[in-house]
Amino acid sequence: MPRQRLRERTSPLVIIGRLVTLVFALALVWYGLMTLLLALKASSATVDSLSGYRTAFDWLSGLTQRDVDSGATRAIVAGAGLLAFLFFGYCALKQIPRPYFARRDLDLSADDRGEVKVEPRAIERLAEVAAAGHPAVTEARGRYAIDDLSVDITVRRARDLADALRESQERVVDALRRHELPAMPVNIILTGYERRHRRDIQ
Amino acid sequence: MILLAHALVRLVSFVLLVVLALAGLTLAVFSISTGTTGPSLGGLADLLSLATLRDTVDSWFAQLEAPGSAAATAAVCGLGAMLLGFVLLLGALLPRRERLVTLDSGDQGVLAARRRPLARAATALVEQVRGVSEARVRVRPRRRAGGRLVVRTSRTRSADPDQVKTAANEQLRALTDPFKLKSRIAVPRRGARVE
Repeated sequence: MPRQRLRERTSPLVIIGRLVTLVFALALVWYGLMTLLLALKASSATVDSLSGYRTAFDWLSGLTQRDVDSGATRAIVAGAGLLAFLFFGYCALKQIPRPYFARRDLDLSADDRGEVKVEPRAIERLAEVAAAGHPAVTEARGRYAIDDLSVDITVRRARDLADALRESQERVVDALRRHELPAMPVNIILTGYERRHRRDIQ
Repeated sequence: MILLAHALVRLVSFVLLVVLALAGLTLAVFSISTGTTGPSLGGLADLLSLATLRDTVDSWFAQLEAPGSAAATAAVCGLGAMLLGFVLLLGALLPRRERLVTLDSGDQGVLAARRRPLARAATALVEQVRGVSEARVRVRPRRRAGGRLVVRTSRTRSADPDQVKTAANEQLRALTDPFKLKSRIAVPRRGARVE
């Protein structure tokens, strides 16, 4: 299947993972720089005032059992830990990619006598012919997926660009309807502009 | 390189979230009781040998802050961390696909354009203006829909810059009026002579 396309369903929660990674990356850059400064024998007081590495370390190493053993502290830690587990665990699950083949046969009907299917290339060709029928469109290339039908077009007239895009979309939608294919979103993408003549000097 | 950075970001995102979730669960479980035995925070500190870790980090800091050979290792580690951080920043911030200019969207679908052909169409329109010897157009897409056409033109010696600007704006209305596009035109210089 040379024309097969792999798409994936993504969750909006992917952004949480991206943010966590962004913070981690910034911390890596910042504390990498601080380590480099220390290695180059910059004053440790200056580096500590910039990054607080010593202050944080001293505070953490000064913690004793008494500081964390009270009932209220443990309740807060337990609650926060549980919330963190649920939230980050759910976000981690949503990071797992869920790929699917986007280019499949379109099932029109199925009964005891058999099935009626339309191959993706037939739908793409239909869209290409419909879009290329517009006089301003010089080339059209369809890409059918189960979610939508995209048509990449090349136009030749800059002035009619808006009309060419809109009318191409209408032509493809109309062609789908005339061939009794199910309605689907038709995306028209301008991918080329063919300039026939250089400018006329006025 | 960018593909690798994107893949790395996905892997690191997943691993970080799993680590954060497991850390939260561990803290919640070890908050059940007090003392230094059983599921207590003191017990967790013993289990993770935090006292030993504290001494190790303290001695490493001391070596790093004092003159000695630890500096070379630390410098390499610091540079490595910065490099990894930059790769992750690239992967997290750069878009995965080419950004299209979304011109219009509705129930029927989306009308969009790649930046370069749209810029070439806009250039062709602007270069039809009398007095323009050369035009350069850059397209800056907006995040949701629409974009901006940034035009820089060269004009002939006799052309009035204001008139050129008005005429170029008028020409670009074929693109800006039907879609959510805005134009910004600069006529900064006199260009090659048109004969």
